[in-house]
Amino acid sequence: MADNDGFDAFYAESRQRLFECLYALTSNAAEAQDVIQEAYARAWQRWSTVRGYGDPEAWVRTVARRIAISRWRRARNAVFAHRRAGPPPPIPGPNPDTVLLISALSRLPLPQREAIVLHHLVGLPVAEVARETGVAPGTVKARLSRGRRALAELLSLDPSEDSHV
Amino acid sequence: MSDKLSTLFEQMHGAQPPAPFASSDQVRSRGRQRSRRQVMAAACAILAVAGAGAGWAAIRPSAAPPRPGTSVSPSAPPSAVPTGIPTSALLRGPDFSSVEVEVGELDDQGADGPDWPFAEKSCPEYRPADYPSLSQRRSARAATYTSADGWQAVQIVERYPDAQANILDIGRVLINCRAYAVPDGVEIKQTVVDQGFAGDNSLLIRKQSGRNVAYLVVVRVGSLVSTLSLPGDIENQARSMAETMASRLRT
Repeated sequence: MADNDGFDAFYAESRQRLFECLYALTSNAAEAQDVIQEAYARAWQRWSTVRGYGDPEAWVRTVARRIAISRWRRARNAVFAHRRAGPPPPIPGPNPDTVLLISALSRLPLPQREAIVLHHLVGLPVAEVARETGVAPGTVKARLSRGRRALAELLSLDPSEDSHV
Repeated sequence: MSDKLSTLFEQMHGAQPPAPFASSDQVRSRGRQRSRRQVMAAACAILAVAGAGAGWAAIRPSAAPPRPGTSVSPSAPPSAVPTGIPTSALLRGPDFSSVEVEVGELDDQGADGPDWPFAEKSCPEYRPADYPSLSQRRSARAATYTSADGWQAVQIVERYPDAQANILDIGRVLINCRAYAVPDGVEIKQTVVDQGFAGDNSLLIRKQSGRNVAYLVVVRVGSLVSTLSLPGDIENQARSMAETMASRLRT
């Protein structure tokens, strides 16, 4: 089966985006990498179904977010990451601004962080963020607004520059 | 969004992971390993039930009722029995924080005592010879934990020279008896809810027998395997027992 029915190409094309998304959500590059590998492994397990979805990447992203959230809730993510990869290693050539942004994102409540990352980093419209996170579009807008305001304060930016969705 | 914030998010694109991405071959391999683990874990989902909805038929019927006079106060563990499993390995009344229970030790103890909790006698495909660890069982000990309103949890602690082999045998039960209906037509549906959350091995299993739901918690520590059956749709309470079970096995 050449290219495993498109899985290899799908993986190669989407993994960077998914890593960025999970890195922003988890604030831990090693954890993000492990989470997305687990998510892609699950996608491969049921690839015959997933590939038929309109947006397989959304499926993998949702699975990855749930894996990450599950680990947070069980308060075991640090232990997992440490067991598997040791302490989080420094990101090769980290951009100081990225480090700052990741740090600020980690201070946001999870719902706001999810909304911010999915909308501003992944680039999903509000309606899709609402669908992926299972809340109403109005809730997403509120989370975005509060999240942007909090980020601006954390990053010492001018919150007056905040714009509406 | 402010320009600065937009710029910061733009700069995130291209952030590199700490190690090269796994190859697609490695991802597929992980997926296959995961499938194998799921099969083994799901294997634990089918548990022995002598009758549908019994919730716990791993105990021989003759051994089911607590022996009169063996019940002790909720704060004390069951009396010591020389089975090779210390009393301290069993749960105590106060370990059930959400309900006050009376502890009773079943009178069918020892290596030939309570049946293996996963002996799926109602399953047409179940044959004890398929599970090699069973003949190696050194000792077993069972206790009941009964509340005033009749709710009853049952625990079996077993010792095996190779307890990991017993965990594998639990997996084989599902391979041979993945799903079935008991003779009176009630379907048994069981799901592994979680694994690897306590002790050296652990499983949290939801078992549905008709309308009845029970949770089973399996924890291995060294050569001891402890299995606790808790009737009711009480996942959180069941999960919360695992660490206590593990700590009891360590003592």
